[in-house]
Amino acid sequence: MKLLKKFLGKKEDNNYMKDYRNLEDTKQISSKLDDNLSYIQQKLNHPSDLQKMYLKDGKALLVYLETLSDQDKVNEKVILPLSKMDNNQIQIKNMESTGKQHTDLHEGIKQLLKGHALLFIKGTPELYTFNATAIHNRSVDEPANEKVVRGSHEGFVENIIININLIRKRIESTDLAVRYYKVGERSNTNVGVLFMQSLADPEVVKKLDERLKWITSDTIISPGYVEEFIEDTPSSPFPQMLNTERPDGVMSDLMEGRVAVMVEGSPTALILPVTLMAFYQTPDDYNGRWIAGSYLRMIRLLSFFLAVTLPAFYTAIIAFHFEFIPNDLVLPIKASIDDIAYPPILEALVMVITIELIREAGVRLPTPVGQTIGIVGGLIIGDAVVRAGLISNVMIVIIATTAIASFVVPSNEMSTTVRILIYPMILSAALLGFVGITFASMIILIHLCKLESFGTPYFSPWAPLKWNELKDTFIRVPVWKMNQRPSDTQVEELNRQRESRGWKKT
Amino acid sequence: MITKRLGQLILLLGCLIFTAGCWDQRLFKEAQLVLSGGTDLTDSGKISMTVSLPYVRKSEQGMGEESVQIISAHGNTPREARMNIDKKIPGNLDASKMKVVVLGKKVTEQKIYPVLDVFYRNPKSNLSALLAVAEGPAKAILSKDSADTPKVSDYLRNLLKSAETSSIIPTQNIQDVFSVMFDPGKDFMLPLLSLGNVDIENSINNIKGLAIFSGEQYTGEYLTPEQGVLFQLMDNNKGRRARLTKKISENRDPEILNYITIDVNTVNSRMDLKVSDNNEITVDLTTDLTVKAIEYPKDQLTNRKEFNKLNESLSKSFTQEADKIIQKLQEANSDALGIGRKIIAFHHDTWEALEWEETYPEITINTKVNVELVQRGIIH
Amino acid sequence: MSSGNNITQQQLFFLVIQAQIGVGILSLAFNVFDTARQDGWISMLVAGLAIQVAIVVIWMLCRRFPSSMLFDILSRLLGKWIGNIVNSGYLIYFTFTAAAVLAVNAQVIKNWILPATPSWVISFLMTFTGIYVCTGNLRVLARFFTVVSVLLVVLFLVTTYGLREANFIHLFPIGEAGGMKILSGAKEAILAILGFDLLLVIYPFVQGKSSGILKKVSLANLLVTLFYTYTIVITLAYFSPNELKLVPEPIIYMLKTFEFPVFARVDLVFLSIWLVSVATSFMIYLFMASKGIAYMFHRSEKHYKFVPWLGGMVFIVSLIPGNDELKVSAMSTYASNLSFIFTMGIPAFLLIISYLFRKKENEVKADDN
Repeated sequence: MKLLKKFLGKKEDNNYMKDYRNLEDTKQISSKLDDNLSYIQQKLNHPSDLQKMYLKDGKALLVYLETLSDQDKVNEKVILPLSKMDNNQIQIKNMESTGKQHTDLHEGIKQLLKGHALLFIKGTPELYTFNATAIHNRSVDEPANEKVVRGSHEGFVENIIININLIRKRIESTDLAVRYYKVGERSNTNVGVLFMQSLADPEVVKKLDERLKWITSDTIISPGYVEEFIEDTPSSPFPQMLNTERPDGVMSDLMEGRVAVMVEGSPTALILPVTLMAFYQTPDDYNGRWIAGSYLRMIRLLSFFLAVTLPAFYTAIIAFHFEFIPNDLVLPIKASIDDIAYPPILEALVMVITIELIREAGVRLPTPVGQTIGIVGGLIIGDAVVRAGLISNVMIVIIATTAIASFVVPSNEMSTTVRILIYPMILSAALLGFVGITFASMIILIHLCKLESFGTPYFSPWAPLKWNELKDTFIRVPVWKMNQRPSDTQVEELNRQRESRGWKKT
Repeated sequence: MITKRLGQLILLLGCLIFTAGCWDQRLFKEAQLVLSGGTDLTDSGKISMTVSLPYVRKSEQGMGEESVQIISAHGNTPREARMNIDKKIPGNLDASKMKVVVLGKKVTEQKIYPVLDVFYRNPKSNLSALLAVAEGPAKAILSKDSADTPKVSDYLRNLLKSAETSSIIPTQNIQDVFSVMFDPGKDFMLPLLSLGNVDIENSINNIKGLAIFSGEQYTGEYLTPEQGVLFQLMDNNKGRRARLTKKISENRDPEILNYITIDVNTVNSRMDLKVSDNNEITVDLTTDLTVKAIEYPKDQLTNRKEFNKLNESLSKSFTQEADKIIQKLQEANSDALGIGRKIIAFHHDTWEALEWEETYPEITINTKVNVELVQRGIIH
Repeated sequence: MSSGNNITQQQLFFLVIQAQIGVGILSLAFNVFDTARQDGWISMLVAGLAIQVAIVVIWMLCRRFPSSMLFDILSRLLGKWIGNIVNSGYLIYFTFTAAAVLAVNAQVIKNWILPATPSWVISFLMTFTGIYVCTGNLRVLARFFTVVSVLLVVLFLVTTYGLREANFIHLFPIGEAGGMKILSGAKEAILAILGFDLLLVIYPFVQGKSSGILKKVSLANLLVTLFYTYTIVITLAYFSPNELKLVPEPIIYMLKTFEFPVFARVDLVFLSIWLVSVATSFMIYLFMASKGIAYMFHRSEKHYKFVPWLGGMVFIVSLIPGNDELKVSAMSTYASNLSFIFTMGIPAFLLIISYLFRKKENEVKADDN
């Protein structure tokens, strides 16, 4: 709370937050039960879900929000123990689950909003809070958007407590630091920051702390909000923080000295700082054998290049450099595009956009409908468009390959980025052919080199080049070879293991 | 904010690029590809250009029917002739995928660089096209279509490529010819295409041999395909395969028993250059072949003695053949083996003192072909 | 000097490599052949040696002033006035070289890939890219240069394909051209591997020991020299001497004849990659010029503010020769003649002065980073 006060203290001239700030000062608890009740009702704008109950012949007043609190818990923790007591002597201390004692009514109201039950005793200027928060959670199922073949099938849920629990269970260490922030001046959302004290770069933690405190928005709905408030370069198409719903992923990132940010009400953790490579790694790489892992890595990186350059490359070839086509393909390609009405750039753009439409239409629909869209869109349009002579079939092959390649990326955010990058590439290819592609690629590369996420070079370990860290990029060397963490996070302690296969030498 | 203004200016220029754009766009679908072309000389000394234009219709499954159109036009230069052809066809004539260039015999009797300049100067042209000489006019070669392959360009290219594989002609594209053309110490040879039969109906394009060039001009002489193979071997220039059929005896009956066909396994050809003090040049050309018998109807390859006998007679007859080739080359004044190049490199003073074109026909070239039979197939 | 500018020695290595490999590589073989005939490759080696000497001179000079840029050294050694004049000279040299790079690049692209596109478009895009990278700090430059160095491997491999058709007899007789011609060929060759002068400006930003710096720069120079020699040897062997006389960009001409099963024209690939190498050379000159101008306005920290202006100027200067091939080559000749003065003459002169007058930076910075 001190933190919150400090945080609010910064902007005292903000008066739009008046009601909220009214809870900041202290309010004496009246010894009259009804005064307290009416004060609460007024503060909460006479809510209908406020349950009040006079107990012990009107000597005690129990108040809770029925929508937030669990009826059974209230019964068990407050009503039953109280009923066993003598009417004249209410001894909270004797109760099995002792309530917390408060003398500030405002503090009480805050607890009430968390689902706690408030108990007022007639004649005393204090109240007791009992934790009776109702927990409605889904189970820790595997996240649908980050499935793995092998490995943990747990996923984060919408409750930050459970999420942190999932991490704590995995890292049984005194080193794991958990910090709560209250962000959102009206919504008062719990934001958790997790890092390994001895690994994470204090600079990053400090920067994060500063940036989180700067957030003055009144609501934080999801980590996406936090991300936009704290990222370094908002104008970049590249995501600078990794979104993940996997506890095992978060764990491995924490162990590399990164910091995780979690937001109450969302199953997504933000990982920072990250590099481009982080978006191409999945837990599957480490769960299987390293050769297979390396193979999949290469496929994924290849998919990045394919997705970004293939349509541009093809457009450049058929609009500028058709001498580039190998001899035996000249006539087949020529036959397929001869009767197409539109110039290649339109052809490419129309197809790319069509694929985007199909994807966007299918993504939010229930599965059976989504499948239908896929079939109608993919098969029927694809076939008909060629028959109608609108798009050449080579172009269909190219765009379809591109679309598939762009979905290979494990991260949804990066996949979108890749699909957006296709457009400038196609445009520059259509303007200047290969020269255009070269310039566009240079700009993208320079951008990647310029980009930094919390002081970490985004394009590491390629730029700056670190030879011995390339072993977890386009290949994944065996785990026992990775004796050092990646250094991009300015990790405090570089070594993560000694010789784990030392037995081989004895 | 001046910097901001500047930023806006840059943005404006950027937009200008986008709006004006596509200066160099040449759409593939609008191009009218030329896959093979021929150059002839008309009687009035003008250049006549012939091109074959493929047309392909798209069908439900991939490529459909193919057809070829042959068009000719005249002009003072090849480029002008090409422009005249362009006037006759829809689409833009585009030679960047040219596969084969055929030169009519008349053209090659003059210097050929001027006709080929257009290929070498244009950045779009295909320098890996193949070059060939027609026995008659190039137009006749290009106009002749065969039943199986309607595209004459493919037909010619495959013909030449397979000749390269079987070592009849050297592996050389139009740029390789360019390179040798200006080399005073080396001459080139080009495949000689012929329609073969006088009877036009039954004729078919084939390779008649290797046209011998001296400098940039065709001498009119040519090596037969068999001589071509041997020449490639002497030049250490074996293709993937080199097969030769040789008559090794006279008196067997039936006639077929007199022959052997061999497949050359390895070849090692050495050129020993001797320059005497008074700049007299002697060249010893030794070619060692290890061969495999692939057809020997007489079928008695059982003992060492038989082997040796065969080796001896093969060596002898190949050496004779090699002598004939060298004689032909010297008569035509064509230094196709690049002896001059060697003199430039290793006896530079001699080269300076000589007039190579006059010296070459006079020098002594001794040839020796050694054949060693090492394999005899799966029967003896 | 802000920490954002410090680079490692490995990055220095790549900076030098990328700065050296640039526009020159295309016509290198043609230019050296023009004077030194088939001994052009010896000229190249001689040129590499000469450059090495120049590198040592620059290094000795910079070592005496370990935390000062060239501009700083100049005003320390020559006094404020003369220093500023020479500084302006260097500014003009950097700007003019950058402009010449732009002009030659536009020319080659026009000749080889985009004949109808106005040259200003290519130059504009190049300038834009240069401005974009130079508004970042030296580290961004170093990172970018390091990443694109992978492309040099591609250039190397593609060129190696020429070995298949190379005819090494074209290299003989060795040494026929004679010493003088080989030396004047070396002059041509030096022009192609200029770019090491960046050491003058970025020396104070490199971390680590000064001996390591010399090692890395020399290694880069050695590699570039060998790579260039290699390309010269291959092109000399590929073309017959008389043909080479006619082909001003022999290396692409050679690649144009190669045909791979997946793509038919290697020259297009080569040119696209070469464009990146040109861009890096251009960027480094633009960067140095912006550092210089920032120094003259006493705002060394904020060099990026001057980059757009400088870029605009370079762009305009590069347009002066227009489409005239001869004017473009005249421009690049001027630039190269200037470079002899500015990369070899003046540093040597400064070094002598510094030794004569025992001027040296106070030993404050003992490898502080």
